[in-house]
Amino acid sequence: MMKINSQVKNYILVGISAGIIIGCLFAIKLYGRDIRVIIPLAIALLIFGHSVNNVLKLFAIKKSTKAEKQLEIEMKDERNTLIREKAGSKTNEYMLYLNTVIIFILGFMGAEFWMLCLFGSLILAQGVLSICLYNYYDNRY
Amino acid sequence: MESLLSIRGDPSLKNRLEILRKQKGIKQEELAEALEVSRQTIGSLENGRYNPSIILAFKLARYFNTTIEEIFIYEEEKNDEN
Repeated sequence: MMKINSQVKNYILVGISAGIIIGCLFAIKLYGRDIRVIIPLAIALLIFGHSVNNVLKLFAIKKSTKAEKQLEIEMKDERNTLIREKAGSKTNEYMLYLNTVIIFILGFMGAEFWMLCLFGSLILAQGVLSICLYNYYDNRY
Repeated sequence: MESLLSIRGDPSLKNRLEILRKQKGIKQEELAEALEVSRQTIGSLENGRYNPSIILAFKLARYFNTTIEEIFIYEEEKNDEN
């Protein structure tokens, strides 16, 4: 269950990420689209979106304890857990196809070799991780 | 081979959950609240789209003051190789 501490943490993250976003936008305005500015901007946007989502969720929960209890039930519900796991598994499967398609498209577009290797290594990492996690859970259960 | 993550209920497992619930005169929401599961889970169980974990099966049996076998009926697949 989410606690008060996590609400404070979310506020801090919203503040920091908003500051970074504003700073990056100023930097882009002054120096143009530099990759050194784009990367922190993308990370800050990611953190900002995630934190705002958490803040809004906690606000909605605060309104009623019944809703809080219901949310807890929904989170712990075995069918919902199974659906989440299945959705995660399918997403993983489709991402593999998507990555392969991206590599082909990049290859036909004449992308640089290191870029193709980077995307290819993602597929390799996915396979290795899958085997490692399988062995881990196989020993655990 | 059918995935173990399949949420589609096994056709060989039937249940009398809806009958028992209606006999008791309670709504799906009330049963869900008592067992601390979502209403959708109860709906899926009644429709045979989802098979419960052993823990939920025990919870259901205790709630209706009966045994798991009284709620769930397992029918083994008939072998047609005659």
